[in-house]
Amino acid sequence: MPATNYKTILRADYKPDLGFYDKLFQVASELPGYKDWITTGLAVTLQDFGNRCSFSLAHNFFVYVRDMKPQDDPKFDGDRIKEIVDRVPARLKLAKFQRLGLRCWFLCPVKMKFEELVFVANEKFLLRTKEIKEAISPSPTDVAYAVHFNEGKLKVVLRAGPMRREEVEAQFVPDRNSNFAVKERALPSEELFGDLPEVALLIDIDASQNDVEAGDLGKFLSDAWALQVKLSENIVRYVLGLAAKAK
Amino acid sequence: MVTTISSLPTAVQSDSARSGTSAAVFGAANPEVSASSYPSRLQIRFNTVQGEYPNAAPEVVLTRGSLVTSPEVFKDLQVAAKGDVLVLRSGARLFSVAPKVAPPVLISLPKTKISTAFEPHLRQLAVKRIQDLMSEFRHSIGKPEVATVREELRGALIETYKQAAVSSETRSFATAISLLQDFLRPHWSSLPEDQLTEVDARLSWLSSQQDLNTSTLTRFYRDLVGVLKTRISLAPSVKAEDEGEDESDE
Repeated sequence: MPATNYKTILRADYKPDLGFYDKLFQVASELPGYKDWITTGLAVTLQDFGNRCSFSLAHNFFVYVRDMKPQDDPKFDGDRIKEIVDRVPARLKLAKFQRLGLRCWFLCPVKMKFEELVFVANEKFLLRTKEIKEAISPSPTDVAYAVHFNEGKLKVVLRAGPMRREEVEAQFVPDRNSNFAVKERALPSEELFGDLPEVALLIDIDASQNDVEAGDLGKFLSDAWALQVKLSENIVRYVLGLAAKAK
Repeated sequence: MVTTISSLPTAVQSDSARSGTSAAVFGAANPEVSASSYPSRLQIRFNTVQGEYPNAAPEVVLTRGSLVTSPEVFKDLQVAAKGDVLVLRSGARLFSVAPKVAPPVLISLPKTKISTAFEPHLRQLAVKRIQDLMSEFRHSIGKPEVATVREELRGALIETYKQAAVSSETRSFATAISLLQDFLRPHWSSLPEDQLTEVDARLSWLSSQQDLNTSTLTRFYRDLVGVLKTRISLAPSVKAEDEGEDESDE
């Protein structure tokens, strides 16, 4: 059972160039699939409310966001991102990125109660020594596994843990102004996100790389995507898998 | 101590610049944005303890969320830049050469049966816990920690018994637990080593099973009866008392 991707962000940061402003709207207007837009004159955000996607372009970064729209097929984000990376860096004549980041939020719904998932996650992820049980956290009511590590050239920031539906705003920080239709923006969270699983295993993976040559953007993306898939699968298998203990 | 740094080492400049790149003008147009206001050229105040560790290079170990991928928008570039907190670690290297990039090491875990229900996990975790503790107990015999481990094992057995006894599917496991409780009752010095080894082996077998269903648990129970040589009857014991009397009469 793979986890479902609920949110994806691809962000590229680069040093600004004064020539950017002449190209801003021209570059943005070449991207298909975004019916709406909003601008301050110095930056622009293209919006696709139907798919809860947006693309923002500013003097020192561009960012693609799919916000709280579950996607089991990675092709959706892949196609959108390809449109962006094929056009924008070349049109802005970007030679190098200061930072590239691909972050995805996954949810794996469970049938158990929140407290039970806490119990399982606690047993799987956290050490339960006598000292911890007796002097630090006898019986945790919530847990999270948070770790930073390097995987090849990627810096990975990983969070995993049980999530209740009520926590959606805090865990996903949805950007209503950029990604939600006007009629949806003021809806209460329980109405807007009522179709989310009541209890789920949340997996939040941020893979980034600093100082990337423009020519290596494709490699970054393929590496980061592969990591997202592998890591999210591994976490589901580890936490919810009935793996036999090695003899 | 607050230190004003006007010329940052390359590594730090890159970090501060990156924080700055999280800042955007979008959403709140900042008419002062220009190359000269770009954070890497700012005089940025950092909270450091450099005075205490003059030879140590600043190394960012704690920052806000600006180091994760985010659509975050700051209204003021300078606010974003000033927000960096540098924490010095003694021993950190100044102008370190580019770190060696380790090759990707993550493997894919093998496919396994996934359960989103609690009960199967509870069974597995309980069995694993008892097996770990039994192993630890067996290896601690004759050592000072034996009493502590035994108490922990007894606690785990009591807890597991309570959980297993409530479900008809796991009742044979509950009976097996009570056999273990009986077995562990004498002083640890008088426990037969060969039986302990066998019990440990049976628990190890059980914890290696992917599906701890009723038949697996019952098999474990039967094996355990054989190992412990108890006089408990393995025949179905659901017959009414009257029937039993009839049988004995025959």
